[in-house]
Amino acid sequence: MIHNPLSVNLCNIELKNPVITASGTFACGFEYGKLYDISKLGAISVKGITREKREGNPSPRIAETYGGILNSVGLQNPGVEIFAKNLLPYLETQKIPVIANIAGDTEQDYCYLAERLSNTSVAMIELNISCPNVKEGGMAFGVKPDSVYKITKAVRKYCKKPLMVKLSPNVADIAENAIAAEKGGANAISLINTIKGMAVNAETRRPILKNITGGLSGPAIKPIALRMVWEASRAVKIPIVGMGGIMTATDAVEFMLCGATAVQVGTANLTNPLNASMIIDELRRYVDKNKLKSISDIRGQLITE
Amino acid sequence: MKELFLNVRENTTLIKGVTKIKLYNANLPEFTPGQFINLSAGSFDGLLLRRPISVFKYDAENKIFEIVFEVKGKGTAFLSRLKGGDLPGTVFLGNGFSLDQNVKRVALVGGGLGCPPLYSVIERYKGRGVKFYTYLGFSSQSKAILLDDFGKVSERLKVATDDGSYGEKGYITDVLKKDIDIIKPDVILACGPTPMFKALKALKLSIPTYISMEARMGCGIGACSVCACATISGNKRVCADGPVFNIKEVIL
Repeated sequence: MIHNPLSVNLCNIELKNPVITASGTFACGFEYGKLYDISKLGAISVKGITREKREGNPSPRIAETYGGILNSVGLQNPGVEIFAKNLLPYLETQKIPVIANIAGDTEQDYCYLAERLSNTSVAMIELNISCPNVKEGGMAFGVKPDSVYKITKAVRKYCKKPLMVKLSPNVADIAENAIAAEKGGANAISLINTIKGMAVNAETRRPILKNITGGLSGPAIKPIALRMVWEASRAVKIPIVGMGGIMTATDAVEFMLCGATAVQVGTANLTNPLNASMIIDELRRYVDKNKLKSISDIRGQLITE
Repeated sequence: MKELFLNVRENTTLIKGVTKIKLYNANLPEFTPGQFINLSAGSFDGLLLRRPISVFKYDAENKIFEIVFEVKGKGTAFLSRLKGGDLPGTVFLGNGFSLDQNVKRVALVGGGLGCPPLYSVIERYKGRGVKFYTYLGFSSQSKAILLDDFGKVSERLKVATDDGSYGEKGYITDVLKKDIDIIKPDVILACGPTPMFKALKALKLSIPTYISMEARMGCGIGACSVCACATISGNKRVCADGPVFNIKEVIL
């Protein structure tokens, strides 16, 4: 077998490279599959899945801010059964690890979804307890370390796949929340979800988003995301998937230096639909240029003295 | 759908604050009238989102198409200054307007910057002997655009302005209403602001009516669920399920 210096191991899942498309920006990959071969991706984290179909929040649901995007989609999705029957089969044909991002209003919802999706071909489950755009559940489960621990522990019992907990940045101490997820039985953590924010039109005196507040993503949040990945990586032993404003391979490398095993690319897909693909190509050039045997060799190699 | 570098060939200011750009690529895909492009506004000044802009004219032979847009912010201001060079863009997106074989008479209803994509319908179907009756509304004479272009290819062109400075004073939908029994359209195609669609719906015509919606978009290709449009069968994606919807379907 030819040695692939970009491959990484995430919870015993072999990824061709550390680039995962982030939940919410990539649907189930079908649309991007018309523009490039998505089987080159490390993995896909699909749009957040709930028990029943959801319509999401009213429009407008997006605002552009300096170096960032605010969204308030609010988990619009067709529900778990439509996902399993109609959407997952396409991803199966792409032979790519699928990370099922799940969200609910109650602990029971999360447990149900984890159990239901454990009986499918998905490679991993990502517990979304950090969505800032829904009234019930979502971020409410992800703010306090106690509740992060409680829900992770509860879902763990029903989840037969590797479990990754997606942490919210809207917290007092990210390290405590990372530890809580690890203690609760998480196999990995991903961070950061979006930062709660808002945008205002000075002329109309109205918020730009109908929902008033939304989640901020993009390069504007990268310094915060790097700091949180760094703090979390020093607090836990489980692997970390870093994200927050990754637009280039250099950004991805920065996250890996801070301790990330893999990364997720979200907003960059909107800036250019080929960005995730281009980041993988750039990472290959980075590995060659730096004569690395494996991209994993840079993980946590931040020099601080 | 293709992601391409689009070469800027010509840049014209139609009126103050409205720009027309010609774009070229040797590998342009098939185009359906009413489709749009998602154009990069340059990776400068902290802008991350592309600008979804509808297509005014499409020249398959010369691989050139034209877009018309209003300068509304930093991104469109950047685009309005382009005199050349290549810009990344995804072309061509959405469902667009299609006419059945039996359609012979079409009423086009445009409002402001909603007018340009209607021209692409005439361009495509004029050769098949379809007759176009065009109704364009603007806030004022100083905001009126593309009247010569539409005038040359329409059986009839009527214009209304809110302030009465050009054409008839009032809503273009009222002008259409007065003419409807004379022009007897098989179908009505409209593009413009939501109040115009509401007025059109309020006419309660029994003629099939299709409207092209606008929304703030994210990806433009149907993946991010940002550009939701409320319909009687739940939220639809303006970029991928639309932008053209049956007026009966949309909750305005």
